[in-house]
Amino acid sequence: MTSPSSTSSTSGAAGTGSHPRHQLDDAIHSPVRLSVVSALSGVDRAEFGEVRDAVEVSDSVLSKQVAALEAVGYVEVTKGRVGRRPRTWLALTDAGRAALRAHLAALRALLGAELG
Amino acid sequence: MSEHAHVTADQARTALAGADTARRGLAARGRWLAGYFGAFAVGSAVVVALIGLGGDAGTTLAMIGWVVLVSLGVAYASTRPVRLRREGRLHAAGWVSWGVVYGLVLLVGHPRHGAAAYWLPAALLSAVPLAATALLALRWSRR
Repeated sequence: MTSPSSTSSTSGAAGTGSHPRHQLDDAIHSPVRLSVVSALSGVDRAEFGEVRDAVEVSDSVLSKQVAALEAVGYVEVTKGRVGRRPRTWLALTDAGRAALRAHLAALRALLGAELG
Repeated sequence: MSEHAHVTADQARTALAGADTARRGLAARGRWLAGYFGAFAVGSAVVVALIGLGGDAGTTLAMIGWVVLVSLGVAYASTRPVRLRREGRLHAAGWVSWGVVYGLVLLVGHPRHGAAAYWLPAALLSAVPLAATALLALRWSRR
């Protein structure tokens, strides 16, 4: 099975070698992006502020990272209102969920390879 | 050379730990759902007891109370900032199973109005599906 990261031209995933590091996904390799995608993997959707607090970053940092994740199709951003208050909801897409699985598997394999 | 060429075991371990912490942190904010189903479990027990033991006035009070509880519950849920993964399935399982138990309890108890020996255990029984769903929601928010 080909991992989504290695087929995505926009994610900038690494090459095709057999070492686990080649399966790491550039789009979610940075700590903040990996935290955002991981956090969203446990929920159907969450408000922007909740993700910001869970990941412990500023609004501007999260905005920038979410925009990058949205651009590669890993995160879906929905804007709406609850009463009069504007809300921004974040959700992981199926592609994002698959990319996260592949990335975490690569990290585990890398850990095993390094320790082995 | 890939920018990942020098990812070490320590870096991989740190990344995995960070990912797990982030996932658990946000999922924990979905634990409100446990309280939501817990409140409905208590409400169900009270409603069934009122219907069985309170006569016409009790039934009227139970219906009004249930409508108020459902209205508050819907309003509360609509403003929650985190929705647990597969929350829709929990709602479906919880409410369908509750509907079956609630219907059976009322059907079987129909000729026994006023009998505390039936209606008190029946009230508790009607709360079981929603209480179980509350526990499941709590578990899901911690995994």
